[in-house]
Amino acid sequence: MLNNFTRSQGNTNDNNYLSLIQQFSNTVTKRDVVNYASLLYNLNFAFSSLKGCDRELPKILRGSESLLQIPDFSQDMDVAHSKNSNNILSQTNNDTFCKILESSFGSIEEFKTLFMNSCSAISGDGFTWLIAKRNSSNMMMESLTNSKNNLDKLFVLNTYNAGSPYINDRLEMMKMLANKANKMQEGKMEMETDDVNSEKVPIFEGMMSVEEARETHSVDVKAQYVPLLAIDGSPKSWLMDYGVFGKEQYLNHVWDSIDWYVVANRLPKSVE
Amino acid sequence: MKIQTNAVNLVERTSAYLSSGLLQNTPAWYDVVASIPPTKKFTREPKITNPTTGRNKTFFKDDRIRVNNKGLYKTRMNQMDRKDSANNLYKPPKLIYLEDRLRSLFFEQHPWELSRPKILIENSLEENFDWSHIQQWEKQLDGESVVQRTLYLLKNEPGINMLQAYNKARFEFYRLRIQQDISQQVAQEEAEMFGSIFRQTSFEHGIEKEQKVIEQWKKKAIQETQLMEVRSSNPSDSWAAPEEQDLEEDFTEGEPEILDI
Repeated sequence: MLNNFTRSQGNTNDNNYLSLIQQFSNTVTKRDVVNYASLLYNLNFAFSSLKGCDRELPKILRGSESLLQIPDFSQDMDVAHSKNSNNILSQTNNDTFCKILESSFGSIEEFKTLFMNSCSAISGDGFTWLIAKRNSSNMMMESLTNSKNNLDKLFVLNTYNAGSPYINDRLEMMKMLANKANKMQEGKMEMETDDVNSEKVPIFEGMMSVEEARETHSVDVKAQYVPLLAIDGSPKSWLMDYGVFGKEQYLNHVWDSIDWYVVANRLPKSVE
Repeated sequence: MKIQTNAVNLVERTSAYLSSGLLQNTPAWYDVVASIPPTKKFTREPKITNPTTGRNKTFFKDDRIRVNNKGLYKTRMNQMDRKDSANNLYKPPKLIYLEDRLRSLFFEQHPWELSRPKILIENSLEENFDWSHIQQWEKQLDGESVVQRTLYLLKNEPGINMLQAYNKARFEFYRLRIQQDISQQVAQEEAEMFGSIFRQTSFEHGIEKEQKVIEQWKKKAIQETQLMEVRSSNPSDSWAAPEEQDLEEDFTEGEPEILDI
């Protein structure tokens, strides 16, 4: 069906996939199409921000001893001080991008640590994204006043399997699921014991983290989330070339290959 | 007084009993005490040199060259300084390890590392780790890893001083700790996104149980305080409750028997 769709559209454009995803994300029967479209879109997006690096070709690391390797600090120094050829600032010539990175994550090093670790922690398929939040409700206001207090943050986001960064109502969906399960559980409890006096204990303690996330960083429905950068953390992208223990090495290579110029240009204007 | 030898010659006597047939079975402690026999030297010998510092304890310490804590120079020895205490010579010297200083420094700087759960009983643990890397297969990453790694670096890296080695080990530790934390968080998030629902943690379970007891106690406490208030106030006031006042107006106040009907 995806093939039919794309054929009818004439060319496989990223925007086509995107419209597909946004159109059918809540439709049950079209879920498979959305999944494939989302995967394709994510992959295209991830490749579009890469440019290749001057590192050596990967050697397949053998033996689990490589897991015990001491962390390599030589690169971090390069991130902090502009010695590296792939330094963010020198590449982009975009001071605002660096400033926003620093204001969102503390420093570029911190951003790198968070980003790389988030990606390396994905155990199945998935992508790690750098996304920018844009308040669309305040867009008008900002264009009028051009004030600085509307400066939004960047976030690091993981999507799993064919998840798409464009579907923002994840927490809503989680809440719906939790409510459903809660109701089922309560029904069961009433069946089992007709104890009216027993207080209903919140069953989904495990949901707390997501609940907390909702409370602390409530997803603004009006806000728009614009992806800037994606890294593919799925095993299929690194397993063949880097071996079973090579994810770390793969991620380092990817970091060196990121085209920061492209990434910085994706930054929405309202954020600047 | 005669030197008491009975207790010390326990092994000899027991083996004599055993060979003569007085004792049938060897006691459980026999092999242990035989391999580590009690000392038979009872004379206290003065330890002239301190083994940790290698300094001679009998050496007269002349403080006259240094400024004392009042900021003054000492020009003349007082009574205490001139007294040569022989007691000191018999005291066992303090054992000082570098590891202990590193440990206390690390846990002073990272007090929450102490709150991490730790396995205390490890009977079959091989302690001979290779500290050329901070992570070990059979040991979880903790403050001790930092200490041991620091010692390894001090020993094996030429021209590295104590602080540099400690900082290097510490940064390696931070890196791995961040990695662990994020991977735990991401794993949880991933599982929740796929629809898994977790059980309560033991902490949450404990708090929930506690909360039940607290709620019961609260009810009881409210009741009792109400009772106390009633008792302490005027008895005639207490029976004339504001909402009952209209109904029982006809009744004379201070007669509880009537209200009870």
